[in-house]
Amino acid sequence: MKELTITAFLITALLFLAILGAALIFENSRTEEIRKSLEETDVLWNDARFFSGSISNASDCGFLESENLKIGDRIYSEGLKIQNYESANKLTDALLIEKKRYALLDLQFWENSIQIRKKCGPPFSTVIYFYSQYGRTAEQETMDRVLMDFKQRCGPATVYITFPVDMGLSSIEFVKKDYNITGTPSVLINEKAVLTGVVSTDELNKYAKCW
Amino acid sequence: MFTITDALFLLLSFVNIYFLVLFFIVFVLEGKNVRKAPAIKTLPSVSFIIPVYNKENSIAKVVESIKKLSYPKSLMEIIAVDDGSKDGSYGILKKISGIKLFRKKNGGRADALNFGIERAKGKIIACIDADSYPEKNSLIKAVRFFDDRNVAGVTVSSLANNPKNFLQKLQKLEYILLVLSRKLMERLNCIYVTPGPMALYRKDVVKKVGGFDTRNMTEDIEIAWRLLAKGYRIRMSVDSKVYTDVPGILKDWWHQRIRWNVGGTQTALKYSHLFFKKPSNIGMFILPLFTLSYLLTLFGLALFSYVFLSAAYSFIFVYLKSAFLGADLLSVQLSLNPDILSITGAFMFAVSMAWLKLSLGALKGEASIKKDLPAFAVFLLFYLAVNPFNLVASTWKFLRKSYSW
Repeated sequence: MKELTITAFLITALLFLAILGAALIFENSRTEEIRKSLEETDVLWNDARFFSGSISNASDCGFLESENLKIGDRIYSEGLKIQNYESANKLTDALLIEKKRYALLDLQFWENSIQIRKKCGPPFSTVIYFYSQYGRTAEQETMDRVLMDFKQRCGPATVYITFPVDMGLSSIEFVKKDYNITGTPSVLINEKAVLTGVVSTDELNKYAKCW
Repeated sequence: MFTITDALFLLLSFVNIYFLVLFFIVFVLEGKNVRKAPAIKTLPSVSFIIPVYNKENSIAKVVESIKKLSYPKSLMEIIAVDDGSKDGSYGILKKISGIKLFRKKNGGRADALNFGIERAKGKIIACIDADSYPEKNSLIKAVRFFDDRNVAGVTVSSLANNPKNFLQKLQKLEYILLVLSRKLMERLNCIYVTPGPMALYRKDVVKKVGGFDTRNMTEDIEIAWRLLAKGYRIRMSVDSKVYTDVPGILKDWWHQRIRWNVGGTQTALKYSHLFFKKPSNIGMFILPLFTLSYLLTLFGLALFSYVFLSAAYSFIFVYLKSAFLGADLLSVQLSLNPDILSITGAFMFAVSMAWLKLSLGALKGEASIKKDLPAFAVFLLFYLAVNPFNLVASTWKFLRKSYSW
């Protein structure tokens, strides 16, 4: 009986290793997909950035805004994909590194959006969501849902960007200080209004004015 | 992020898969011998002992079934022990010829069996419930195993008799699925129960070890452990079938399972001194299996409760609240990406299905997935999930010492 129980244990351990291997393959393929996608977006982003830097008159604003929104939508969908994959990637933290890259890309995109608003007037609102990556609360999860719905309702009238405040990114720490973000969840609208805690879509719309 | 809950789920899964793998290995080694039985050398004398308590609806049919067994009548006797029935059981038995009838004060099944054993003439005693109906060839197939002097007990395939309602159909599946695993336990000399519907014992051995324990709620489990502890073997005759009446009302079913769990706990505690000691089958396998199964069931229930309550909390404080704040209640983000938990779950499901098919194959014709699909679905999704709750209730009753037949 001893041999049987040991054999069963070894076989189970091997099966578990196989399951682990399969899970790692799936995780790595998801991370790789995000990495490739971010690389492509990075190229598009750099292209748009160089273009927008050379704008001198408002007649090009229409094109500029549409290009900016295109990239914004792309970054937003990638953000959703990362969010989707995050819960499934349990064994490795490679996706978190991509998430940091994504956050920095978002930061650059926000900077550019601010420049466009300055040059071309305010064609869209900026809604910046500060959340905690490692300290998720029911409050934060509620705001996740409220903001996702708000973005869907506003569509291209809103540039929606999310920043994790506790992933060790100095640039985001700087932004927090600059705009006096003291807790999570917090929402910064049009670089002026800071709303902390749980707020309704109507409250957000008071400042974003998208409907 | 990998959480403690994830780790606990994987630990539970590992243990479950381990036992499934163990049974698969034993099946690979012994599967072809499942229906094999030794050739008949001698036919021993058999005393059927039927402890009877308030079984007026079934007792006559039970006696009739025993009388119809294909076995030399000169080698058989039927002893019915009325254990103080309050209904018409004794009156019915008085009218039946060819049986030895005794009446005694109510003392429980074990007490009635011991009473019958004292008066039995046969070398083998066949203990049978007063609502169980043995198949015609069940006895002649079962006695073959007693040619081995070391065999003290033989159990048979206990199956649900003529299930009428859905609860009984679920029990029918349950009983069928237990047959293969019990037969494979024989290979490890770890058959830990000789179920009450029908079991055969060597009379001199049962008397030598002291008879059935009258304080135990499941004397059929306790006697099996006692025989194993004394170094005897218990075999199983898969082809010997006995059909037993199963509870058709949820309350009776629940009470029966409480009794089983309490009796199992009593037995495990009684033999706990054998933990990790020889004889190795009890100390190194049955006791750890029982204990692990008990702990993991409660643990699994605690984990499930935590996950369920977390989801409920999330639903109330996130979903409903966000809807109140203007979010769309119907927008749900489903993550269908395979992760280590879902892959493990899928693997466990696949292995369990394979085991299900094998178990059904051991008793061909008794049930099929296609024919009994609704019962199988409910069995897998809900019926098995009720056991942990019953175990909690049994533990509570055991600790409060508030259990009875």
